[in-house]
Amino acid sequence: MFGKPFLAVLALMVVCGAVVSLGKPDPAVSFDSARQLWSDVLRDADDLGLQLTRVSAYKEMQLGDQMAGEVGRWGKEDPEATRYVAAVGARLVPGVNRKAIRYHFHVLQSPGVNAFALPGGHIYVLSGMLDFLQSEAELAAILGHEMSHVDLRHCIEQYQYQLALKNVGAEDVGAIAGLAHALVAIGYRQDQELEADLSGQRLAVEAGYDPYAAPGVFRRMQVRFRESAAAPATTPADELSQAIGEALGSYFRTHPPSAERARQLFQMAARDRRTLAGQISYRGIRNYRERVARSEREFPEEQHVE
Amino acid sequence: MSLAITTVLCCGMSWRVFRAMPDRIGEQERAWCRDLYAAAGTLFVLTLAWLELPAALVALAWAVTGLILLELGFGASLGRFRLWGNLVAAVVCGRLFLANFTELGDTLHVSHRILTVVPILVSQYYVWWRYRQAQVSGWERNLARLYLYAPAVLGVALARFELGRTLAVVGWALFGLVLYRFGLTRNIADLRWQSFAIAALSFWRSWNTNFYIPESLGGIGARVLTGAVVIAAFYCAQLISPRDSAEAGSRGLEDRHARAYYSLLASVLLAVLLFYEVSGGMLTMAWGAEALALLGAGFPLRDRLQRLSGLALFLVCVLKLFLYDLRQLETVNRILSFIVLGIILVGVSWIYTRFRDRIQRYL
Repeated sequence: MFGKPFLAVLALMVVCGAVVSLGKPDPAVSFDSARQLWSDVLRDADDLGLQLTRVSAYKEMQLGDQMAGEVGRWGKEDPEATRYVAAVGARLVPGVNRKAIRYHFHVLQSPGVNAFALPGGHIYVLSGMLDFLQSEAELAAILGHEMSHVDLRHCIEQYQYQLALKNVGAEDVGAIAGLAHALVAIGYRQDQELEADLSGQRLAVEAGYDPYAAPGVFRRMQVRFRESAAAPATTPADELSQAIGEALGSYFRTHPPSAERARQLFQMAARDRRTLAGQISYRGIRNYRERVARSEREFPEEQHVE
Repeated sequence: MSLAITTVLCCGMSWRVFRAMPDRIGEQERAWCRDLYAAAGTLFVLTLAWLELPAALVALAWAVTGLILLELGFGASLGRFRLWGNLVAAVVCGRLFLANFTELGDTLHVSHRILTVVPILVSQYYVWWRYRQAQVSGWERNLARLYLYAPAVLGVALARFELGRTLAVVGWALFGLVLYRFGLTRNIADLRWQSFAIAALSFWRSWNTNFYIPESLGGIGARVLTGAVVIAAFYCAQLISPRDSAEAGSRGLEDRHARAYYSLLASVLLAVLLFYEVSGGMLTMAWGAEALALLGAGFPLRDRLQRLSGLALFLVCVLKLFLYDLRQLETVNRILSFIVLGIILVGVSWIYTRFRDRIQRYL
């Protein structure tokens, strides 16, 4: 009854299944792939307009300087911490792709556990985030993430339509276009965050920092912000309804869940470990505690061989 | 354990009812019982696989179940078994999006995504082939075509997730080329249509996204690397597409224009890539060189459209020279542009005049 081609296909499936079971299969189940494909569609549609309304690095930095003036009023800057953060950030700059952008680092005194970037290279870290982090490698990962938002043009893209319409004297239309673009961009904001995570980790690793620092930060964030994972499903239908519920519920979120970010970063770190085998990476727990940048002093106990 | 026993019982009963007691149970009742037991057995097998296997392997196990059902359906001419097999295959496609495309594990550096999705793609092509062998009619005939389209969609998605958003175009362009080759050699129009759609997707993504990314891969600019592979794949597709109009005409509309389609995609994409790679002053010369290459290749390839593309690009160069370069470029670049384009145009003009008779045949 069963012919040779059928048996060959069946054997292929069984062998591949056996090979998968030899590894460590990922237990995550979600409709993230569908969301990513939808995000690709939105980005492909949006990219055309974004390419047509591109602004130069110079103009982007001008806009960034204006915005930084506004942000400066939100809180008092901590000069000592800013000096340290700028020294760590400077180590990451050689890895960025857009060399024309000049990066400026600021630490604002605020209890929020947050960091953000403005167009043109202004990177802000709140002092609450500095309290939350535990090592220089973790700080490098966070700075790398924010710098990547600038490097990958995520920051300036939010203002391009407005700027283009402002240039032709249609400022009011520009505001509406900006709003419309923000609505479209909701569909792919999470992907931009994941891209910035991976790119930021690349910057930190290229600067010689511990590749496992970034996943560690997001694991702690998951605990700190009580982002509880859903209970394991007991039936296939339960699993499906959970996945659909999560996909619908998370669509309007700007950031992916910390667990997902940690998962992706951990995977990247595992890949990095293979390519970095034998190389030295740096954690900088003591540097961070003493606020002495690694560029100023390296502690031998902070180095470990991958 | 209890589920496993129930599954075995259901499958056994289904088999038993199917085989025995022809005189004691009526045909209709026998079919009803068989379908019921087969449905219950299938459902139990799927649930058992879901309960016992890791999430990444569930789709593969379900696909094996579906494949066996379909094979039984073909072997014993049981349409209802094929129906169940088809339903399971549809569920498997959905499951791949739920648990496999974003799966991050690997074994011996081969990603679990490839290890689980590729065998399923192969099984779908097998089912399509099986349907073709079985010569079914009615709704199943149309359904069989889905087994040709589903793996193409899954293959595109696999390339997207395996290679990432940037490198996906490379996978797509090569996948499209393979489909086109098979479509031609096996004379399967559906595969050729799929390759045209995938080529359009690669073209759009390359131009719209890849040509703007600043990333580099192994020291080479990502847009050059990905663009070069996509353009090369398009030219390969052009070269293998039927040149003889009689041969192409006998196939269908898509084949009459396939050569022109791939040629245009490749030439336009190359021109756009040069636009982004070559700085302002050298662009006219770069486009002039491309035009010359198109024209030069158009003669031995006997490709009229390619020659016309080359001439059109020359026209663009001349227009650019007078409308833009004269005003915007520095003196050195302006002089260089005029000299290079002038030499190329004189050369082309000389070739056209010198070999007029021979060229007339090609035109």
